[in-house]
Amino acid sequence: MPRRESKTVKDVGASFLTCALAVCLCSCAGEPHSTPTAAATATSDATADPGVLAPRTTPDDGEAIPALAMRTARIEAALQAAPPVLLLDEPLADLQKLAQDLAVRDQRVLRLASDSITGEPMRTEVLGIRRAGQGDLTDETESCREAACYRVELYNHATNSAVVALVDVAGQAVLAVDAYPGMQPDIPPHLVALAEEIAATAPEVIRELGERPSPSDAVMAGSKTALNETRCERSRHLCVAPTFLRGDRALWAIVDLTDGVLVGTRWTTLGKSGAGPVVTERRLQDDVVSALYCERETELARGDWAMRYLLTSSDGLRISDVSFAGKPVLDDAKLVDWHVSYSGADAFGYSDAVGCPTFSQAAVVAHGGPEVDDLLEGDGVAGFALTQDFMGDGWPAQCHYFYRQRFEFYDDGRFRVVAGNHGRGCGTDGTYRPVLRIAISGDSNSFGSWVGGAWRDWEEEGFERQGARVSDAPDGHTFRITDPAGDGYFVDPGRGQFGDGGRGDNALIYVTLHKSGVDEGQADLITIGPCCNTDHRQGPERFIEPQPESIADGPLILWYVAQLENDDTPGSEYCWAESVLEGGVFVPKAYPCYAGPMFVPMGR
Amino acid sequence: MSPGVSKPKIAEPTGADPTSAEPKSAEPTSADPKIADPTCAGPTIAEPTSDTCLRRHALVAAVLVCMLGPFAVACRVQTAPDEGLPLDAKIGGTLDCRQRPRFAAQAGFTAGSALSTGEGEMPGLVLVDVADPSQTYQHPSWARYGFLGPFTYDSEGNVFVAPTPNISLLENPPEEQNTIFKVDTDNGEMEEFLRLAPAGPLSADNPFGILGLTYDCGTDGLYASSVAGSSRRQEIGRIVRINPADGIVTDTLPDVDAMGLAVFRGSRDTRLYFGSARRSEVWSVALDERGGFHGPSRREFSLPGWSDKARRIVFDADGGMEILGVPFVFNLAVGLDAPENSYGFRYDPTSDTWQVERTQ
Repeated sequence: MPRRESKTVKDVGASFLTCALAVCLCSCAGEPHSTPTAAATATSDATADPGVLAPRTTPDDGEAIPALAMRTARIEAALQAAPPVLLLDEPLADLQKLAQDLAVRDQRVLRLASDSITGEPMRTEVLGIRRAGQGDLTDETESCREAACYRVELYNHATNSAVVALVDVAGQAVLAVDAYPGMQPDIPPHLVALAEEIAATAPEVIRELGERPSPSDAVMAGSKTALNETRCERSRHLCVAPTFLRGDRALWAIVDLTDGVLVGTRWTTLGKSGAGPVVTERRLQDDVVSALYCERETELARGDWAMRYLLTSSDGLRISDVSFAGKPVLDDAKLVDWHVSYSGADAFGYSDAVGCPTFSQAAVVAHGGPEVDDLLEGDGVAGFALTQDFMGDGWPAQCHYFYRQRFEFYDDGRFRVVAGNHGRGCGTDGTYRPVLRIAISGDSNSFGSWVGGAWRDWEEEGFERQGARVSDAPDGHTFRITDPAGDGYFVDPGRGQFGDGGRGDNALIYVTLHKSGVDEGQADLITIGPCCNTDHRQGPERFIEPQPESIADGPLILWYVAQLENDDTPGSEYCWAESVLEGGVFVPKAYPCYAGPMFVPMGR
Repeated sequence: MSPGVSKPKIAEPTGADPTSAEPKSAEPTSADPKIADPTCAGPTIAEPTSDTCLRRHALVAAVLVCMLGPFAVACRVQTAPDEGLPLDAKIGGTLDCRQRPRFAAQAGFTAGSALSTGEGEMPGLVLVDVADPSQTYQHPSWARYGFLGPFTYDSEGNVFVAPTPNISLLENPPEEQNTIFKVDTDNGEMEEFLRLAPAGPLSADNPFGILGLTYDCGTDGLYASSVAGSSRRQEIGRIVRINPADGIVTDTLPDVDAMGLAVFRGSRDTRLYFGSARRSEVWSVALDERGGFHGPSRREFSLPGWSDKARRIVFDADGGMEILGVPFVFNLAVGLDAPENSYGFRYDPTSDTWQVERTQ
């Protein structure tokens, strides 16, 4: 069975749009890809340069930043310490030390610094200690008008929240503790310096500037808004934006201090006021993905395979003009909808379109660009996969979704069109029905099923349930597509045989005629069907009813709708995700489910 | 109701509609506890809680327009001698003439009732008893046109409302999104009022049409902002002024994609304020004596939030402006963890400018 590089929870971070990485991989695949910095015509809200996304990885050992390594060690030590709080790494006066000491031992602070269910420590650090001003005082801290009080500001990286303790150092009492979800305190000088160093040593920054800048070359412009919100709206990490000024332009470098990595860069032109457009993680990611993958097709050639791909408004990643060894295989293939239904007492659900992050009909948007990686089988590379992720910003929180599209291409001519779900959804009784549309190349094809010991070609448009049976055909195949010469592909629905954790697709398979001059789903389809039909009415039937047409020796479209039931039972989770505390921060843990047919060349 | 149109995806404790330009209470303030709080959650009115509000999409979340209290106060303000100034000379919002829709009383809804376009399981317009949100009323015609978003009402209590897609386009086909519906103040019947032409060809880039509606008592004008026809590369939306009596478009402000709308009488002129749908900015344009657009638009200020768009603008009688912002980027993505941000601004009549007074 093929070995695949399954992307579990932990590598979600890595699959966060590593556009630069994806480009590298594509280039390695011989793809004539432009660099991420290629100019894209701007929207009225974007710049001419969408920016560059960094791989979001820490530098190799040889390039490691000593201060970052030291900080990592301090974080690990703090999580083991009592109290488990990372103390402020700045020169402190005695009273500041005392205030910090009192604050981090306060039970209210400690409760906010640990997981309420497991009691495990969450990464919490002191970012500031200053004398409390009049504006900091409330009725609760009225005594501070007479006494020396300090304001100790902490940040909880796991919950992205600020915690403020008002400490009466003379009375050695913590008078008040308040939590501010979604807010971040000002960062101290040593973290400013670290952010500047991460930026100044990042290959993406060096490449953009054409030289390695000095960390002191950066200015920390507008680190936060009045809302004290993060620049990293998606990861909800502690992020800042060191900026390098060059003439009338500024290179913004968004640095994630929770992970200690560069998120990406973007050039902006400074206006008369010296202020340019605001650069944030989400805006950077969205603009890069839109410019590179939504506004133009990308060509991909690897081995005997060649194709183009495009991120659509609502049909996910569409591949088109797919050929193998010069022979056309697919006109195109895409993911039209995800129908999600919950079968509780109050049945409800959604029809989710996936697609471009902005200016689209997508409810769950592309999270980064397409990635190309090797498919491993046995001890070697058996082909490659083209993967695109779509994720709600809050995933894996309840009612947020993570979908994955995956096209697998094998060196021997097999290929598989895959839809994957990583949870988490709105309930534990959910059924996911991805609607795949696969347009077969060729004007004269037949589609057949193995029935009663023989292949029987369908005469007209229709659908069939995959069923639980295993085909008793000589090669175990269930369906086939053939051309007049008798060549073609067997089509094998998922029965759990693909080694990707799939438990069977329970698919509905539709075949419709690809009518000339009629758009039957080739262009972007708006929502094709409702969430919650449990029968064949998933949308493709609209191209069949009311009067099915003959499909004998015609151009064909295969629609494939798997039906995947989620499961949160410990030990057998499926189509599910949760957050787990790891290293003091929450990371997603996914239990994905994948579905989709394998196409096997006849005669292989 | 078809389960296919249940959209309980987002919790919006305060039930605010991000596309509506209408205030929960935009009338002059008074000692009436019902309007002391712009959410109408005065001592006698319980605001819906997160438990009672359904999860909903950020773009079609609930707008609870407090009806009875504000209108009662508005009547008092109109008839009171006040400072002796003519009504149209006062600085402030221009919604003080509006009347409560008469169908509300006929449906048995009186004090504290509210209109909503964001009751997750109920597409369309819904009349809600704010004190007991389980008590709702929906005229049969109110759910015929899919999910709705912005709405406003006029001096007779006629309601004008526009559709907004919610998560999917199943109930809201793109070609229907540039339509304004009118709910008759007397019988509650909702009918198509006006179908605006898109500014350009509709494309898969943009499933939205009308994003903002407001009314101006000063000139009896209805204003609508539409982004239909705009695309990633082209901002060609429009703001139009409409005669609410006959649906005739009397003026057009071109090439602007706007969300929230509201009219304000300032120290120098009366202006239509609008939130950009593309940038975190609030702009305005002067209105002439007939409510037409006069002169160039001017940028008023940027919102303090990184990515918020001003989806609703509310003026009070004290020169205060409340803006509710959402991170709108022309898609149908759900923003469960992106609750509305509320910003307060204060008007300086001397300089005819606004200063930030409050964030959240």
